[in-house]
Amino acid sequence: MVARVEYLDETKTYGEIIFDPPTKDDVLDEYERLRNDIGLRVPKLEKRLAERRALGGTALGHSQAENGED
Amino acid sequence: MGRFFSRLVAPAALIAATVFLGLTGPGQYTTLRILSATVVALPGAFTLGSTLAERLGLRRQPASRTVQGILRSKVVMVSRDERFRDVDASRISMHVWEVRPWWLRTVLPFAVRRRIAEWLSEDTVTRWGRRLTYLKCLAVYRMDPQPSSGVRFRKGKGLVGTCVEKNKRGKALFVDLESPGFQSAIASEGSWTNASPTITMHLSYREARTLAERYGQAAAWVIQDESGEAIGGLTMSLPTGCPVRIEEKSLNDLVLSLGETADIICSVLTGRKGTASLN
Repeated sequence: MVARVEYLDETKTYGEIIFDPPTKDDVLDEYERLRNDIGLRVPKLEKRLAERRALGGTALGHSQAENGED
Repeated sequence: MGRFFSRLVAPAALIAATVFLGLTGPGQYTTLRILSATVVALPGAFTLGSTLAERLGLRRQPASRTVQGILRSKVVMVSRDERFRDVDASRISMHVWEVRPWWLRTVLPFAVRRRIAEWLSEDTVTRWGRRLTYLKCLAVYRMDPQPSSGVRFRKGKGLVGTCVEKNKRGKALFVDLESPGFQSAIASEGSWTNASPTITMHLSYREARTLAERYGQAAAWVIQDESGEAIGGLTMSLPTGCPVRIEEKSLNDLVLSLGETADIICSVLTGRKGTASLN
């Protein structure tokens, strides 16, 4: 979630968009999207993805489980 | 020709010179002489080895190609976004900048440099950080390709240089090159000289004009590795006259998504060379 925008000068030329740094799950979701979209393969992220799947699937799988869905 | 010189001729000459001086110096201090010659020759050997590996095809896939594929995917994603329907998508560009020389990270790991930095003043650390490193454009994607602007960024210089120097994960820096503040600053060389460093970001007048002719807005995300070191930056540039503003709340999801992309690019850059790929 983006917290706020801070302008670094009075003319609003420069600024910072401050947001919560992505979690490992966020990064894996984005990786999975790129993996399906362009066939990206990054060994380090493949390993993490396999670990996550072994622990109970994707983030979507988690929310499904929380909602009592199969 | 410049690349051929800097990546092959210069490192080979450096190695040859140090080997010659190491072997033919005065009879005293032989060990010290050979040791110092080795230290001097090491960067040249790294550069030469990496160039030869690239030329001989020993690397499976340059990271730049993989990163460019990621950028292409993101630009296409933005161009299909309904919020960008009034923007000329062929003029949206994304760049990935890598902090070089890469051998500095190998020879002096970040943890060691951080310890050294604790002993020095902040000014000294900033000054030497800017002097020792530069930013190299590793990959760029724009549907309608355009030649490089020729602006050379360093830490603290330009939007991406400032972003890399600040090294704040979870903060995207943005600039509006069409804002009244920026436009009045680039109105003349004199006004640029008198403008505050927050506006100029250590760019020369000519560099600022070149960038303002190409882009209307830009945003930058730091690429930070697991040790906390800024190893590069990801930038997205929007064309002039773009009705969408990067900092708009409605574009929050894009800002977050590009933050995630920066992390993925980090994994590509820090993984074993050539192992990340596009199928």
